[in-house]
Amino acid sequence: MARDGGAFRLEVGVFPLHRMTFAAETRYQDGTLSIDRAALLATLAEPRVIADLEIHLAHPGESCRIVHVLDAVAPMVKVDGRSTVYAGFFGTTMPAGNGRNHLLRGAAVLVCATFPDPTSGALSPAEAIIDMSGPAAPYCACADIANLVLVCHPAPGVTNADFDAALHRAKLKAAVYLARATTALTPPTVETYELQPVAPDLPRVVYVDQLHQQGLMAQTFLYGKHTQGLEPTILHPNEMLDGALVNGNYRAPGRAATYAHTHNFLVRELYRRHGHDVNFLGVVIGRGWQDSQMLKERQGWMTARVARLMGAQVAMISADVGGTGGNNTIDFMQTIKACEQMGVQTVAVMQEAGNPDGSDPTLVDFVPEANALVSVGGIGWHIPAAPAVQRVIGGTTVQPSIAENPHDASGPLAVTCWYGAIWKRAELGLSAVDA
Amino acid sequence: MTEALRVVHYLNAFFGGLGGEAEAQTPVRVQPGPVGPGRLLEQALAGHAQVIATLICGDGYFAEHEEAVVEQVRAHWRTLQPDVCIAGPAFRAGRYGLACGRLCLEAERLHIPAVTGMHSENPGSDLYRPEHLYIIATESSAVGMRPALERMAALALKRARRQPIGTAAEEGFLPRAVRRTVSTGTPAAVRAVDMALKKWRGEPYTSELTVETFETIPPAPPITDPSQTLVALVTESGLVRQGNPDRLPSAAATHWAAYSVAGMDRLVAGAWEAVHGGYDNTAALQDPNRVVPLDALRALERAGVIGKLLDDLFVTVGNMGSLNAMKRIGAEIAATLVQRGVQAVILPAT
Repeated sequence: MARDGGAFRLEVGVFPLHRMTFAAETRYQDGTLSIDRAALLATLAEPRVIADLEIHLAHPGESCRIVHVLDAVAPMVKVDGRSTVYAGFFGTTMPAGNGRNHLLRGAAVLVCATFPDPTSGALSPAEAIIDMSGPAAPYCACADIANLVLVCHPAPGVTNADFDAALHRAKLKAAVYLARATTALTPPTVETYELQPVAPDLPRVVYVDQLHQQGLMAQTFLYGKHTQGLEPTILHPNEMLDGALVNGNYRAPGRAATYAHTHNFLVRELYRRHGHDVNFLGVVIGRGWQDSQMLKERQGWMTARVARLMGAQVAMISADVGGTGGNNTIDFMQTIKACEQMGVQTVAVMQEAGNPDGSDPTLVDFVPEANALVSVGGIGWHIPAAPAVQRVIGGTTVQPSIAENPHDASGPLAVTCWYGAIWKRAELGLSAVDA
Repeated sequence: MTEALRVVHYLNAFFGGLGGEAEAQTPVRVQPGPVGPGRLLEQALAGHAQVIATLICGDGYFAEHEEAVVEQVRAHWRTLQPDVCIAGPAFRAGRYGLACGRLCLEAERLHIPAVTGMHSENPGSDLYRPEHLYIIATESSAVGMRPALERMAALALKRARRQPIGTAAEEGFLPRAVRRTVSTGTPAAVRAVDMALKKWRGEPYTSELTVETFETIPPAPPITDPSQTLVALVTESGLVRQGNPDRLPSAAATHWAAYSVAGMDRLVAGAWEAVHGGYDNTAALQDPNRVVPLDALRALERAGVIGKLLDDLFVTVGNMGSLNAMKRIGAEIAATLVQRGVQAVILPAT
């Protein structure tokens, strides 16, 4: 059969991973990945930008804390197909979403760094912390998987923008390097992702994803380019699984990671129910945090018309992995309103803000059309303080809030929002009720 | 067996057996033991608690003498030493609902647990649910007396015993502007698709967030003569003196600061920093006047367009601010402004 060059059929060969270890050669066997640290360092080296690069390992259950976390990436490699994984960051091989990948399931590449030049306001990295064990671990992204941690130190004179670009290259190269150990191996399981035609009476559903885009350090990449001027457009869900979206947003610690984009919970759930309960048409992406009320309303209509023109009857809406909270809630509500007014029924997943005892209003905006909301609970919700840890990766001090002085990173720590907390809360099944 | 808990019940004159509208002007009176619906209430309390006294007041009298009634009721509570106060239920009777709500709020302030009951459309519900009162949802009329009193009694016993209280849905009270994070055991994506299918099929479903509408703030009347007006600058931009001496946070502020701008013609770069975490502060740092336009206001002052600018600049951080904290901060700053004779405020947005 002739090959269809425009197909979106993605096979994922899954290699379970339980342990990573440093060794003389990089090799995958029986759930263990041995890593040649020198070879990996040579692959990642960009001495003119990154003066020093530490590589650490962190496993679940260890008394270990990872600080200044910027992103988490799933280790995967394209073994057959027209694009690379994380396409756009490895030349112009695109579009993604077709062919065969190998994925190390149960592992992530983390990147940690502090930027060379001062930053301010929205365009600043917020402290993001992972505890690999203890009471906070269930609320930290990647605390339940094996992590290769890159700690990057900038070369003198490097700008934040140049350093940031190098961090993206380093984390994505490392993710591909690790998975490449499996290219010659036969995967124990293969998952196939394809939107096959389904029974005509199933509701036609799209997933609407509002991306975080404000500027350097608060942005999301689509095929290697920031989404500042992005008008709502269509993605095949396979493009997301294949890494077409890469995170460059370091604002709130609860933010989406690249890992969360490639494992987006609504994409996976709609795929699971495609052909059974729903007819999954695809994904509409657009950026939130528009600059004015007019642009926020426009964003809603521009998104709704794409959904409608795709033939959608239902739109599942989230802001990345549930990260509504600031002024993007207005864009979000306008999207719900416009979809409903154009005859596309909505269900939206949201986080709730407010204070720890829940006695504050938890949303900053609301439209009457938002009559079907799913909550992942309150981000101010108290979780137990974490005890001191034996080992810290990524830095020696932490500053969870600008109102606090930096303090010892290994000591006891009370943090309400850990790294990737919104994603974790969604997967844990947390919600909130009137009480 | 432990001693029965002490309940003081509040009724309006109608339910207190004093007649209808003509008796609405009845002042506060206290009767020992249960009266009218109080007998059903005592049955529902099933011997665990006793209605030791009933306070009765006409709705009209309450509305016209609210503060005086509150004082008298407080005095009765001091004498009666209740473990829990129960008011109503008021169903959809508006003035009765307002009285029940106010008295329950006063009881809670004295650390006496209180429970009332109303229909969701009772104006007392709109006013007092945001005060976090426990208001059992009732039918619109006294047809629903028995189930209302049973739920009120059950909740009152839990509250009097300081036992954990269930959710609004479990206990039957109206949402009282308190959210509790809970585990559903089912990932958000699964719940979301399930909800979408129900909505699509026209089946009943429950949104996990039902949101209160925000209150409308009416604008103040226009200033008659700006050239005679004392103007103040108030900002949520987080523009603070260098070093952030008041430790304002970048988000979720709970306090405010004031800085003197007396004698300053403009804000000088380097003397100020912006701690607000919700916008790119670069332009504000380069020229603080672009976020807090002291230079422009001084020009208007010199030209006589405005009378005078207040010597102090009031600052907080609006980013991710809690509504309750912002209301309090706003009220505190406003009180200071009024005390200093300010007639107009410029609120530059970020």
